[in-house]
Amino acid sequence: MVRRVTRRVRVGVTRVGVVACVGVACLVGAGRLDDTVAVFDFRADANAAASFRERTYPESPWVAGSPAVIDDARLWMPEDAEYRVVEGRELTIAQSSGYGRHFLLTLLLPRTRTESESAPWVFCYACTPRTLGSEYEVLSDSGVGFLFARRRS
Amino acid sequence: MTTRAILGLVIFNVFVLAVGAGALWGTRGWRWWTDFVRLAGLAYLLGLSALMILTTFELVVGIPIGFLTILLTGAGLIVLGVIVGRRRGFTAPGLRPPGWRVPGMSLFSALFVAGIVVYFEGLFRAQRLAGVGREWDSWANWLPKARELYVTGRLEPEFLLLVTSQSPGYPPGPATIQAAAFHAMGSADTVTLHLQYWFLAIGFVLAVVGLLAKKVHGAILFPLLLAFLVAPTVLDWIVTVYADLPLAYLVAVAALVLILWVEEGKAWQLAAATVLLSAGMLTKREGIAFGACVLLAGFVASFADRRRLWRPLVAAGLIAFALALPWRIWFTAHGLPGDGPELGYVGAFSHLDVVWPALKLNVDTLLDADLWRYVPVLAAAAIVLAGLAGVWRLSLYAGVFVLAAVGTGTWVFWTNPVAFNDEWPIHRYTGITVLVLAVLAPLLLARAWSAAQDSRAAAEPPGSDLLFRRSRVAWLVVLVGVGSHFGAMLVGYSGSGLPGGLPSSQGVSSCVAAPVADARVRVVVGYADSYPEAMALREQAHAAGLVDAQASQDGCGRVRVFVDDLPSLATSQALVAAAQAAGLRPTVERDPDD
Repeated sequence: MVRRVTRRVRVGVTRVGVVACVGVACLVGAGRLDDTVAVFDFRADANAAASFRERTYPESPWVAGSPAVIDDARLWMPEDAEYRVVEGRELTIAQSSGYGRHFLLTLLLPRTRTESESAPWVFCYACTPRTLGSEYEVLSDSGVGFLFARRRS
Repeated sequence: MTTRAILGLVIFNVFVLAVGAGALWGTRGWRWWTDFVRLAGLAYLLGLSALMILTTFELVVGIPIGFLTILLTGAGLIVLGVIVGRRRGFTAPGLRPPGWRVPGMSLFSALFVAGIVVYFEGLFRAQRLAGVGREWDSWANWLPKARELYVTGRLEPEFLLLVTSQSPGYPPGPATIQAAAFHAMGSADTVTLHLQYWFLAIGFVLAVVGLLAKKVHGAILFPLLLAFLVAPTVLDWIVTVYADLPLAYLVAVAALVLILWVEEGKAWQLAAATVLLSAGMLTKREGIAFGACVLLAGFVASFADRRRLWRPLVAAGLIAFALALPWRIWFTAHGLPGDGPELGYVGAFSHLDVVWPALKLNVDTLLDADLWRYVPVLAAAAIVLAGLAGVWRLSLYAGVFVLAAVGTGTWVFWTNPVAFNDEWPIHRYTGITVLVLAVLAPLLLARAWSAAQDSRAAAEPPGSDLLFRRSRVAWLVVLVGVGSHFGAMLVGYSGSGLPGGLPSSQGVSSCVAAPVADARVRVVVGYADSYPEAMALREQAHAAGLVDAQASQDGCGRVRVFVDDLPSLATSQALVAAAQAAGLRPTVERDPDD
């Protein structure tokens, strides 16, 4: 008798529990779908409105103002070029190369980074056009301390 | 971000499916093509896993990963699968079993299937033009490796040492797939790459649906799947070019197919779990930890049958690890640092004070309703209900997995205190546990429901016939979901910001504006792919009398050579004539500076 009652209670609790779980899932899934599609629509709008540069380059304080500089560099350097990354001492938002090194590595492939001081191309973080000296010709300047330059031959 | 890139991705993913079909044929075979359609999602994930394992092996032995290598690798897998299938006596499948008809679906299920279709349609629109601007790990780890593989076909130790955001020994699996996708798209298109993650997500959902279709009523399966898909954290990561959710797909489907093997004992199920777990180990370093959690749960759940099941389970674990081992041998042989814990395996014991915060962080994150919308809570309830209904094996399996995953997570955050620095590592780690729970929960609930019934007939859900009786008419509801966006466009509404028209490809044409009357214009002598080319073109323009010609970026990745600031279309004609006389092919555009 007790066994039968226990079983019936167990069966009842299980059935109610399963229905409750599915009910909650329905409420969450159906209830949030509208918001989810709205999020997708918002993203679709934002992505469609973004420019080529906004989609292609990272938004980062490490490379603030620099998509144009990186694009200039990509368009100046041949594919077998070697470039160097240096840091100046000008306190600006781009005071350190930080993640910028990763961005350059990814965006400029197959061009390669080198530590050699004789590298014909150079990126300078936390720099002004004077930092690199007359040995270099500045080809692109972000205006916030990030430069791209070519060694004068 | 072009139609050609999207088509390339479609072809690539069909190729992945074909590779997986070869693997599935070799291990399982199918009598009817209708069976294959049901298991297409699993085949897709198997194809992806097999490609990832083999291309990583090729990297290790020094075979460059190019378009041809990927094609031959996939073709080789297909041929191997066909040969093995033949040797195992599988005969050519028929189209469908005698008397087969399109399976019915309840109206209730159809509503949620339609919801999932709308979800993926919206996701496609959202991600088709998504940028990688804020995807830091992509920039710092995956994209450099993928682009290097795309350009050179290799990952040399010197290059890996430059990618310093992760240890140089970090598994390269996702980068090999991304590189293959670049080849399929025809360029290193980091924008359209997001759609590859859309395909992965669809493959995962189809795999789960196919594996559970005959075991779980749609009224349980589809609402739970949709509830998982709309979780805020899933929305954040589902098409981000990271490896967390791809790893979660592999681990979750492996966990599902492994418990099916424990219950049904079909060899192909264990083989599939082995391949998926191995690919997980090559996707992220956590793959090894989660593989161990799944296997541990499998051992505990099969304790009653240990004489029969433990030996093949041990073999599966060893094979999965062995398939991932060549990469570990390679980076160790090259003297590259490994991907072990930050504090070391022993050093962590001098930081025991971190254990409790690490455990609390794991548990709190798993139960955070704002992140997962109650999916883990539902799964926990499902585990309890299955246990209450006497479905011990499955309940134990899911329970042990959760405990093992939380335990492992505690160890991960204890031995890597830097992971406490922000909230993302724990969200991404926990997402894998949640995904496993999301695929086990429908099975747990279905088993609990069935066990609480007296007869099979009563195993149908409660409610009116109208909602729950299977009918082919319910497919019409799904069709409405399929056509919802196109329908909305037809009536003039579109949430995508592209009302009524076909989506634009947003290529270089977006940087060219047609001239309009009474607006300033510029004469464009031409576009070049580099400054040296542009300088040569500018010299030609100067020689032709366009002395004000200049060269600068067009904003779409090219250099424009042009004379700007012309007051009207009419004033541009003299310059156009001069350029044409010199053999140039000038065009006139609106000058947006106006």
